[in-house]
Amino acid sequence: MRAALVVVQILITLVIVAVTMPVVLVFVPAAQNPMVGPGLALGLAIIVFAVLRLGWPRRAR
Amino acid sequence: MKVRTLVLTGALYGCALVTTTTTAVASPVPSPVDDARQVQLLKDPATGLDVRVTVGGSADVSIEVGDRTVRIEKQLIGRTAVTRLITPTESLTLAVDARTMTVSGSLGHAQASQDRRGSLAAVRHLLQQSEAVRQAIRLLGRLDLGPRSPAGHALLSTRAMLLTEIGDPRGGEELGRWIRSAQQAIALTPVSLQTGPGDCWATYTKEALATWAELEDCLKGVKWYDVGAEFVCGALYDLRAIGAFSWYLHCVALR
Repeated sequence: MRAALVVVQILITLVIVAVTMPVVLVFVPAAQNPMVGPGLALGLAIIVFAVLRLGWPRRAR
Repeated sequence: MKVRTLVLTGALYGCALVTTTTTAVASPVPSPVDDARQVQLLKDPATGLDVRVTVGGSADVSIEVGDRTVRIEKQLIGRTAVTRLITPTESLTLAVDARTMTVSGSLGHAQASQDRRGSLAAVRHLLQQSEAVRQAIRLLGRLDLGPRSPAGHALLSTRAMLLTEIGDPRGGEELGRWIRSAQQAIALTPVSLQTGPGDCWATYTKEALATWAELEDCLKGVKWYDVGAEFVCGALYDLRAIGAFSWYLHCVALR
């Protein structure tokens, strides 16, 4: 159950990053550089994943 | 005075002539062989010998291999295949084109052609007598460059040709075995024109920017209360953006 939750969170992270990256590329042209862009995408993914992990509603025990 | 001048001039002319002649003998005009460019240097795993492939110079393509006993040069000059065999005691050149086969070297000269019946016997007799041919056959039989090597194939074909010409049927059989092993070993390998992961990002960037431009075009003229149109434009954008990012992850092999 816990593993499934992590997988779901990873998938949501990827979707959010995928939808956000075009906007980032337009407003931060430096991200179009192959030396910068992938790192930026990865950083964004880490932040989104961390927010999801921390903000995910937990079951009351 | 005039006589002395004449003598000096003559002496200088003579010196110049001798110098020119000596220079011409000592360092002749660079032969076309000097223009040959090495394109491949293979080390035969079976014998440890170097196999050198060159292009240009006197031959279109040249393959060279040798050990202490014999040196083999296989050349393609126009439509003629030339095989040169050099041993410490003998040199032999076998030139084959569409109509003639010529052997020349320290053992003599013979030419066979389609027009002259029986002329092939003289060529074969010369080849059978040659120790260089036997040494070359022996050396080429020891080489094993594998089924993927064009140079290996050319050298194996040379061995097959020499064996056939001296009346040994093993050459054809060996060539048949090589073809069968090549058919088994050679497989199609997918290749890509991509040069590195940076290309993936460049292609993804183009698609992502096009996705954003499409969203802007789609939303142009849409009223704020037209929720349906906004939803459709957004959905199309999401799908295209997710597709582009999936492609990128696939491209950098995060599969």
